[in-house]
Amino acid sequence: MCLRSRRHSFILASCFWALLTSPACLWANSDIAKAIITKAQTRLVNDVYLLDAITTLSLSESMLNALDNGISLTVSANIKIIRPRMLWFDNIVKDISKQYELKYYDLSERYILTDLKTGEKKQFRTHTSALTALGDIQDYPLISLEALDKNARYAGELSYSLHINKLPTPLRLKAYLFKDWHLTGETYRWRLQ
Amino acid sequence: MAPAISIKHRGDLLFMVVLFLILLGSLFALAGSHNNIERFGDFYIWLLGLNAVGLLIILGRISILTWGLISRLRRGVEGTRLTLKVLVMFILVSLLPVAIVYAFSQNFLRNAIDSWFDTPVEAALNNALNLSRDALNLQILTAQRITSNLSQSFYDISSDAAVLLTDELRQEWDLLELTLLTTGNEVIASSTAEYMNLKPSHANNEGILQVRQGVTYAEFNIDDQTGAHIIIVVPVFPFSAVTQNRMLLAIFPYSNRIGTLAEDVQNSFSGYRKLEFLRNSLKWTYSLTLTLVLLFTALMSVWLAFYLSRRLILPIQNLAKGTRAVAGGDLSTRLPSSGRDELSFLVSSFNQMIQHLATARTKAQSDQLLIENQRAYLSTVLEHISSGVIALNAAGEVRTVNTKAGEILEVDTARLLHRSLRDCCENNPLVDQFHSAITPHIAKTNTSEWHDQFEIIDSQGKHKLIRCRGAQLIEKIEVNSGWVLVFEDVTAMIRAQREAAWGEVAQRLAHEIKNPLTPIQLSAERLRHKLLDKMPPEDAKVLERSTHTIVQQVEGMKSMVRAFADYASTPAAAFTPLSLNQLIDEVADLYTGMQGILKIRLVLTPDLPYISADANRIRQVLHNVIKNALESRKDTRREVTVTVSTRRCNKPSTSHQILLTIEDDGPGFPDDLLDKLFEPYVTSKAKGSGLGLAIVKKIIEEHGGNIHAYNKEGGACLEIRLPFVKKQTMDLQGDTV
Repeated sequence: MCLRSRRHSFILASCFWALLTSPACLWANSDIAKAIITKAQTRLVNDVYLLDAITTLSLSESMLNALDNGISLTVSANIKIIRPRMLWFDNIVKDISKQYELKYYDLSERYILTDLKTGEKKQFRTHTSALTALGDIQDYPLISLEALDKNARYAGELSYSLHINKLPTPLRLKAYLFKDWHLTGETYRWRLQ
Repeated sequence: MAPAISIKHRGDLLFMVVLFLILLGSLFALAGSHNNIERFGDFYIWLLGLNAVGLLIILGRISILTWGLISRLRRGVEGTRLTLKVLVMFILVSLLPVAIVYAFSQNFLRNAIDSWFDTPVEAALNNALNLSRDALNLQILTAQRITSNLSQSFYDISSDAAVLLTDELRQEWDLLELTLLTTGNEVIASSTAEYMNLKPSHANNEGILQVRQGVTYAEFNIDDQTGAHIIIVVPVFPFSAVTQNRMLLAIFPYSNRIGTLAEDVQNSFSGYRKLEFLRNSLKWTYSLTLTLVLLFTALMSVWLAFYLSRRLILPIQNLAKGTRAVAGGDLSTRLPSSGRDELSFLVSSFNQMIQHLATARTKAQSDQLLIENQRAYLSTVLEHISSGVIALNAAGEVRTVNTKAGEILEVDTARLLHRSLRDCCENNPLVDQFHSAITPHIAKTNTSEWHDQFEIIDSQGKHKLIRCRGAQLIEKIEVNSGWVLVFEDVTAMIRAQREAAWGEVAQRLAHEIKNPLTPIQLSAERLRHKLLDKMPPEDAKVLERSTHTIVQQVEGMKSMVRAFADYASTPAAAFTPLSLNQLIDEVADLYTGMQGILKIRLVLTPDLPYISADANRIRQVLHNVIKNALESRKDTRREVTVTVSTRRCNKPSTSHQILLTIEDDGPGFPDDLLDKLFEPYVTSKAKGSGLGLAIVKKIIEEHGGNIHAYNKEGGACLEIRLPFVKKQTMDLQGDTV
């Protein structure tokens, strides 16, 4: 194969791959899952920064349907402590992912929210209350003051995402391709203080 | 010629094999990801992408190959149509079964997935779940009632009393935990079973809210540590506006067996619901995987079809190219051979054939060169031999003729070639005579060789004695392919032999006759001297006359013998460069003053080249000829005019000669003697010895020339041709002198 044709093949493959993976190009349904962060702030308590955040999470019909049909949804709160830089990428000081599993328990007809890190489980009658609990982060210790440069300025970032890789295999491609399987929402940024 | 598989093609093959293995592994992983999520699940999308990229690469490769094939087809490259046919055949053979299998697999897959879901099974699972729920609810109601009853005991008691009471009631009702809390979720008193966590449980927010509203909260939970259990939170009534309101949290153990069964039902139901929910996605995913496998198989088959057709056609293309090269005369072509199949055998045979052809051509060229050399050699020999050679084919056409044959037959050899001798007879009297002479011999079929001697008369009326030998040409076994005729003009040779014989005779005559002549003469003179005075006058007169006659005749005989001796024993000539004109002038001067008897008229061309000659002998020639002219006159009172002229010969064949012409105005040569004028003892004169012209001819031939006599109107004419000396040769001779 000549160099030119290889280059063409590479371009074609890149396009296909971009089509497959880029959220901007996905098929869109009318209803989408959202994670709207209304508040996120840190408090310095005993030289430790604690995070308080409130996020309004809503699931798409497809997600709810899957949830009610026994599919577990794994949602993570992605928290980053960054040191902004003027002409370069921000320096990520700490990257935390708080992962929760939300599933419906048919026997008790409850939504069970499990903190995958601690194993703590909470039951809710409705998915709304479960999502409210999921979006409510209180007094979460982020980072010690000692780990930070006193003269530098830091910021925190919070975003939510659905782990498509944790979905059953047959659902993954669909989840990658369709927008209603993506938890959309802007990354919330605040100044660390 | 290109090798069977070029490096480029090997690289292509290696690349495709590696790609094939990667994609095959990827497809296996993709198929395995459905069953083994832990191993491949995380890479599912990447595997899909990898397969898609791989398929696109193969598709691109096939597109390039297809475009190349179309281009070659348009250009009319040989073997392309055959490649296309083989390619289509391969593709059909490979794709048709794949397509059929794909269609059946799709149908089978969908049916198989649909068959997983059975309505009775679903109903049974629903019923089982409802049954479990009812059992659970019953347990929860019981637990709620018990907890409500217990809560009444905690109204308005102190904390210390509450501690004792909780412990007592927990043990009494065999609870896992019994905790008294404020509605603010603060623990007042708590008692837990030994295996439970010592830390008291708290009500969750929902429970607190419900309790504050006066509603009992119940929760079923399955914990790894405690197993299945029911949590009940009830308000402790009545609520007081003064004191802090309380709530009682009780954790009831759930029957292990029932709990396990309920859990199984829950899992089965959940799994079934999940599977049913994923039914279409499963079909889609499996179909996608199957389609990827189909595409992979199909594209690889198409590429393989290209590759195999190319490999299959390549030897045929090479053969075609090789054949064309051989047709164009290039026998250095060698085709690459690989493998042991029939095509390789064909290629090997082709190479052998070319090798043999090359060897044969080299040999043919060598043979042709040899033949040409032999022909050139033969031609050179034929051109330089003194005999005429004519080769006739079976039809009597002249195949070969040399220059000497043309000279003898006085014909241009080019006019004889490839023509029948019979056809050349017209306008060629000598050829006609020659043909007539040989025809009886070549007409015979029972002789393979013959020889004959015959006379032909040339254009000047001279008789030529031709000695001819004929031999059959046998090119094929016992088949007469023609005749080869070798002939020569032996006139000069015969004449020379005759002259030599005459010389021998003359020498013997001179020797035998000369000896007795002197005694005869002496005897006659003695008789005369002794007897003349003693005899009577009449007898003396007779004696006188007789002895006088004897002496005279003896003198005559002596002079004749001297002439014979001169003819027989010519001294060796001394050749020097000589101006013929100057010599002629000198001789002519000797005859001046003979007015009324002889007049010599000279017509000499100036600046003639020198001849190499013995001046005395050439002088003798001139004397003999002039004397012959004088002696030939019948009327002695008439003045004889001899015209001597010289010039350079014009004809190409005699351009190296000088022509000396001597004419007289006498009666000319007798016609009956013209043929043998130059033979000894041929004379028309009564007293001539007949040796004058014979000596002339002998001298001329000694000088490399020739002499020719004929009669012209009003006299005889002699033409003498003498070769002149080239200037370079003359200088050399001069230096030597």
